[in-house]
Amino acid sequence: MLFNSLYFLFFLTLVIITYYLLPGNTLKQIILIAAGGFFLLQATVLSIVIISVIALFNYFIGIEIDKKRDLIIGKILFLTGIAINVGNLVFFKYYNFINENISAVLGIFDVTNPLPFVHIILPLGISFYTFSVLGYLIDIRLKTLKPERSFFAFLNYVFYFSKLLAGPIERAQHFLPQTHENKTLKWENFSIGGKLIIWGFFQKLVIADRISIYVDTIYGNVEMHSGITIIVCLILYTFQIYADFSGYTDIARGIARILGYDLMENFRRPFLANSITEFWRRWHISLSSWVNDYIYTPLSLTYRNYGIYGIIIAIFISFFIVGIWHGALWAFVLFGLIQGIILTIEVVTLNKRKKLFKNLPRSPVHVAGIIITFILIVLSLVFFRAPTFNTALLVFERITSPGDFFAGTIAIFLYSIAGIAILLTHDIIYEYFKRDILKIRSKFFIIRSLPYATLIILILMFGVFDGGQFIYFKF
Amino acid sequence: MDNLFISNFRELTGNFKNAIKIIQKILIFTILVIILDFLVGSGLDYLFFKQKVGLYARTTYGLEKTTADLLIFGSSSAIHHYNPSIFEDTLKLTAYNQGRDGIDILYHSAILKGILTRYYPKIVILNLSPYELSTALSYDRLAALLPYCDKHPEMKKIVSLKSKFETWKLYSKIYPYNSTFLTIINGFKGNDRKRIEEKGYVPLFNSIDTNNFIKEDFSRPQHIDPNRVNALSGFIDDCKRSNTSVYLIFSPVFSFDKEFTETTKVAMGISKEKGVACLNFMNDPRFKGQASFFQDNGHMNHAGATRFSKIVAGYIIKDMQKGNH
Repeated sequence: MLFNSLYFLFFLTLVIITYYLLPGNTLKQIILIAAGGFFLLQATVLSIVIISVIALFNYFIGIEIDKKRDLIIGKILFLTGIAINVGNLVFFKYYNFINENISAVLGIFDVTNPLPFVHIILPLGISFYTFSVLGYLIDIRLKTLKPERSFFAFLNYVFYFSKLLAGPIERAQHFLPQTHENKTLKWENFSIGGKLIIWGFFQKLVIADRISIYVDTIYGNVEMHSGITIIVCLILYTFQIYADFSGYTDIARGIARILGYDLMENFRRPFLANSITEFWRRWHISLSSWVNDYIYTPLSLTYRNYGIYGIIIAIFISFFIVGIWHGALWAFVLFGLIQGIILTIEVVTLNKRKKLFKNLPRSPVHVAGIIITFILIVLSLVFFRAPTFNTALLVFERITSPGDFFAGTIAIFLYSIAGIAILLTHDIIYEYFKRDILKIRSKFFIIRSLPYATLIILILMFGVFDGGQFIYFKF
Repeated sequence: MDNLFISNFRELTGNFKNAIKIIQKILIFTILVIILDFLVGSGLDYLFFKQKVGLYARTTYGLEKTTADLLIFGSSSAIHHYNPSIFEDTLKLTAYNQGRDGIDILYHSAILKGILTRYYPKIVILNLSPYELSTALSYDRLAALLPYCDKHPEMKKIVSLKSKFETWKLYSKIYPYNSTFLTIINGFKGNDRKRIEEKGYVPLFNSIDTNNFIKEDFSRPQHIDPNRVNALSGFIDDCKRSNTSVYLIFSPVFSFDKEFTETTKVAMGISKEKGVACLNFMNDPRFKGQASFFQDNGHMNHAGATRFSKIVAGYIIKDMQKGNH
C-alpha cells in the first residue's frame, strides 16, 4: 500500500476512527499493532513473520538482560541479543552481497565459493526496526532505560505503522513512555498532525515526484547528455531525495501526532548547513544521531588514547555503517566513505580554519560554507542515485562534456524549479527569521487554515499523482 | 470494574465533545478547500477551452468543432505524417488531423466516441504505432482525456483504466487540469506555429542524421494488452455503426528490420475479422532507408509526409472508386 495513495488515506481514516472509539490504552495499542501488521501484509507474509519474531525476542531478552545485568549471563544475553539482531539484518540484507564478494576474491585464486546464493526477499522496514531494537538493548545494558514490561507497548514500539517502513529510527526512551500516556482526542494534535501531513504530501507529490520525471530521463541516458544537463540533474536529484524523504517523515510524524504520538524530527533544513559535520546534524537525524550515540561516541572513547587518529578511525567506521545501512552495494559504502573523508578533513583543519576565517566577515564565510557543503552533497549523492557503479563513474566522466542544456519538457522543468523555490524559501525563512511561512496569526480559523488549503490546491494543480514509492522504502 | 466503566465512560464523553469540535473544524477546512477548488478549477476550465493554439486547442477543436469528412487519428506519427490539405485535394472532402503526441488507441477510441455524439465523419484513418497494443504503454497518458470527461461522460469508462479512484478524483474541479497550467498559458500565444498547425497537421523539416542515427530496437518482446485490443475493436465497431469507413495504417519507419511486431499481427487479424483495410507501410521500399524523408527513425519530415499522404489518399480514392466506401 503506497503512502501516497487514496487506499492509504481510507486506511488511515479507519485506523484513526477505530483508535479513538476504543477505550483504554491497551486496546488502542492493539489497533496500532494490527495496523502495522496489516500494512506489512500488503507486501509479504515474510515481513510480518520476521518482525514478529524480532519483536518477541527483544521483548523477552530485554527483560532478561536487565534482570541479570550484574551477572556474566547478562553480558552473554546482551551479546546474543545484539548478534541475533545484527545477524538477522546481515542475512536478509547483505548475505548475497557478501557472498558475491567472497566469490570474487576466491575467483582470483581459482577457488570456487562453497556458499550457495539464496533468493532473498528483503523484509520491509528491516533496517529501521533493527536499529531501533539494537538501541533498545544497548540502552538497557547501559542502564539508561528500563525494559518495557508491557508486551503490547513494546510491540507497538516495533510495529508502529507510520514509522515502520522508513523511520524515523525512533528511540525507545522517547517512544515507549508515550505508549503509557492516556490518548484522548485533542484538536491540537489533529491540527499539528494535519499540517505536517499536508506539507509532507506537498513535498512528495509537487516537488519530489515532479523532479523525478526529469532526473529519471537524464539518468536513463547519461551518455547522451551534456555536462551542464548532468550538473542540473544532480542538483535537482539532491532536492528530490530531500523532498521525498522529508515529505515521508512529515507524513509519518503527522499521522503519529494525530494518534497522540510525537516522533522525532528527521530533517532540520539540511541544505543550510555550512559544513558536512553540520549537515549530518540536520540530515536523517534519527540515523545520524543513532550512529553518533551507539557507534561513534563509544568508538572515539575506546580509541581516545590514539588522539586525532582515534577520532578518524571512529569517523570512518561510523560512516561505513551509515553507507552500508542504505543497501548492499559498494556505491553506498563509497558514499559513506566519502562522507568520512570530508568529515576527517573538517576535523583535522578545524583549528586552522577558525584562525583563517577569524578576521573575515562572518556572513560571506557562512554562505561560502553552505555552497561548498551543498556541492559536496550533490556530488556524493551520485552514488545514491546511479543504478550501477559504472553509471556513477560515467556521470563524473560526462560532467565536463560540452553540449547544449536539455530541459526535457519545459513545463515539468519549470514546475520542479518552482517547487524547489518554495521549499528553499520555507527553509531559509524558518532558519534565519524563525518564522513559518505557512503560519498566519489570526483569531479566525478560516484565515489560519488558508496556507494549508492553498497547499492542497497546489497539490491538485501541480502534484504528480502517478508517481512512485518513497525512495527510502527500499532501504 | 465500576471505576473502569466510569473512567471509560468519561473518556468516551470527553472524546465525544472533542470529536464534535474536531469534526466542525475539519468540515470548515474541507468547505474552504472545496470553495478554492471550485474557484480555481472553474478558472482553469474557462482558460482551457479558450486556448487558441497547441496540443489542447487541437484536441478541443477536433472534439467539439470540426465537421470534417475525413478524420485522422494516431499519435505523433499521425500528426507529422498526414497532411489534410493533400487528402482534401485528392478526395474532394474536408479533412482534419486529430493526432496527438504520446498517446495510444485507448485515447483515440475515447475521442472518437466523443466526436460521434456530435456528427459522423465519412472516413477515419487510424495510424497505429508498432507498439500500439503493447502493455508497455502507460495508462497514465489517459490523463489527457480528463478535461473532457465532464462534457463527455462516455469517456469516463476508459479513463477509469488509469486508476480505480480516477472517477472519484474527478469530483475535484482542479484535478482534470493537473499539470496543465503552463501549457494552457502557452495555448494563448499566437505564433507562426498556429498557421502551420491548421487542420491539425504539424510538419517536421529536418532530415535524419545517418551518421549519428541510433537504431531502434524492435526485437524486444511485446505483451499485448487486452484493454487496448478491445479499444481497437470498439473503435472499428463505432465507425461501422456510424457508417464511417475506417483504414488502419502502420506508417513508414526509417529502419525496421522485422516483418511484423505483435501489434501488427493482432491489428491485421482484427481488421480481417471486421472486414476493414489495414495497410502496413513499415517496410515499404519507397520510404525505408530514405534519409531525405525522415527526421528520425519513426517520424517523417514534410517531404516524406507529402509523399506518404499522396500514396494513402491515392489508395483511399481507388477504394472509393471500387465502391468499398
